[in-house]
Amino acid sequence: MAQVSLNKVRKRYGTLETVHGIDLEIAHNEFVVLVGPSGCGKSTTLRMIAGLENVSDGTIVIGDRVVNDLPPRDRNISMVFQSYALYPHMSVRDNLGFGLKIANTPDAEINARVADAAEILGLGPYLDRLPANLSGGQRQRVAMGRAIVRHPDVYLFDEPLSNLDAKLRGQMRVEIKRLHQRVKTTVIYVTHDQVEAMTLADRIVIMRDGHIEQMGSPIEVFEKPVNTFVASFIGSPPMNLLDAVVTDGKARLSDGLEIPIPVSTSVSEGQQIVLGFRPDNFAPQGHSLHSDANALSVKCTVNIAEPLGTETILIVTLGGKEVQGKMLDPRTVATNELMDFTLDLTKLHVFESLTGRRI
Amino acid sequence: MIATQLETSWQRWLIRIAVFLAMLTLTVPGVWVVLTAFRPNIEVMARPAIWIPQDWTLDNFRRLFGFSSAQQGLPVARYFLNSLVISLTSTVVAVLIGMAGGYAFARYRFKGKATLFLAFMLSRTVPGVALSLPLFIIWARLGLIDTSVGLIIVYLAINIPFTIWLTDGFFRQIPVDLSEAAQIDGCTAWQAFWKVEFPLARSGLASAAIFAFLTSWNEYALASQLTRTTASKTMPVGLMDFTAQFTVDWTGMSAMAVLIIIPALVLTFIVQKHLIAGLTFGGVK
Repeated sequence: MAQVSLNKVRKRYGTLETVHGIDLEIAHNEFVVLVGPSGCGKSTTLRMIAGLENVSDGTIVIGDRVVNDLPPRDRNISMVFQSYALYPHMSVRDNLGFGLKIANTPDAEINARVADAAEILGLGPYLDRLPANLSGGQRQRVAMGRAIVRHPDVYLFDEPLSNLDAKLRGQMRVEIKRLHQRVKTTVIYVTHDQVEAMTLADRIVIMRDGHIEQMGSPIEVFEKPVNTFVASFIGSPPMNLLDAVVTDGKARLSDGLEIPIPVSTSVSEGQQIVLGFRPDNFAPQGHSLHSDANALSVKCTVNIAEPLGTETILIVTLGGKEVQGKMLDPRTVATNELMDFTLDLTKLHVFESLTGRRI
Repeated sequence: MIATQLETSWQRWLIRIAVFLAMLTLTVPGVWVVLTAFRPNIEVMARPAIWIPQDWTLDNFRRLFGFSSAQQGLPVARYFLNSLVISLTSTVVAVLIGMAGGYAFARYRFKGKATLFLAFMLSRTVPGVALSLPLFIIWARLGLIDTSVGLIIVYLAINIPFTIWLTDGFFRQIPVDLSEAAQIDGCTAWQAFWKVEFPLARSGLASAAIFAFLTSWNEYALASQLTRTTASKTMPVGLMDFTAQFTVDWTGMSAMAVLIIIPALVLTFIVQKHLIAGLTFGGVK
């Protein structure tokens, strides 16, 4: 059993504070993804959990032990690095068995566990090769194998897929998910890629500037982002955000277009707001998933059309800003074509203009 | 790319001939020394010069070791031993200290790091001979004149900054991730160093060792001032034993020079196989 909890964890380098008192409870076997733009403190947080960085303030608990002052080797964790960090002078077999050998595990058991990991990850034919003679995907697998042979309490992943090309990244993402289903253990995974976060996580933790902005299941953070940052960070293509002023109970855009605000949102007349909607909820008439019943019809000229096969991303100007819409049919759209778009009014997000907070 | 295409075969031959001539010019003095070690004295001064010895002989080496009835028996064995002890000790110590220093410079941040590093490098810009007089006076006061220890300390001072500089570069090339991965795998920092970083830096340490050894083995200027007797005289200093007031025993000197060259060559060949670059490739990325 290994739950992990962070209590008011801070990281300071001299006078510069990069992580500002993070509180995070991770349950046993939970797959938590820390996601955020570079420099948000997610890697630093992970490295503090690993014991590779000192904790300036607060406590980190793994299982039932406060680990603040324990060296990495006493925390029973394993970590997959972005660079893989394979030992270049050791064969795949020795790379996998290194941790066990250091722990003076009997040879027979090392062999059994290495064979087991190699089987799970399909590394059998490569056991005697050096890392230099492996492809990127194979190296990635060795790095993961090195983590699983030790049966740790917690797995830490530090942007493990960033060095792979798009296709391999997709494959490895699936493998990581499968691995987690197979070896049920707590996982803390750091990435800047929101697709990885959405697809892998039981729970997503979105960070910015050393603070946690929002935590929740992928669907929660997608459907109810607490602020404009989360709204624009989660989801691809990102949510459209338009400045508006509340006029007669409606959101009035800079180009005069008025959009009805959901009745449940409490706004005051004349309030500056940011109106958000996802490209999925803004589509040409007859090409959308939402019903036209509770939708607003708008005429827009297509600036750019990006066909993706099953769907086409359309970039149009609305409220003085370019916004993206999504058309579901593989129909060819001409540039400058004037189309009737519908905006699903049940999927509107309203934020305070000043703070960016959800209303 | 265009340049290589334009290079026709005669241009390539021209380059080869030029390189051959340059190499020939460089090696002639060495070859002359080696050849002279195997010729009788009478051939040395002959005019026109005799290039290939007409009368190959090992007499020079026999005289050197005192097996011959003729002339001197120099304490060559003793000089050789002095050279070996002084060079090996100063090399081993310089590599150990230099490795620790280089690692610290490559991995840790500390106050005055840049200044200290610069100071080490600047120490290399001072020619050793320039310091010979103060060195002599201090060594005389400390009773270090004509001792192996005295010379070892001098060579350490010469070699350590260079070793630090060289190993710093090699440790920088080894990603920190590897040491961190080893620590997560259960190593102490010390184990992580010896099991992961040290094997990867081996080629760098080998080159540092060669440089340190050759510097100490070949050094003449300071050794000639700080040594007096067989207690500490090294091979290069021993060469001067062949000069008398009016004559120089060129063949004896050459024979001894050959004895100086051989260990250096052997060591270089032994260590060479460790000088494979790019050993760290494949571990990351």
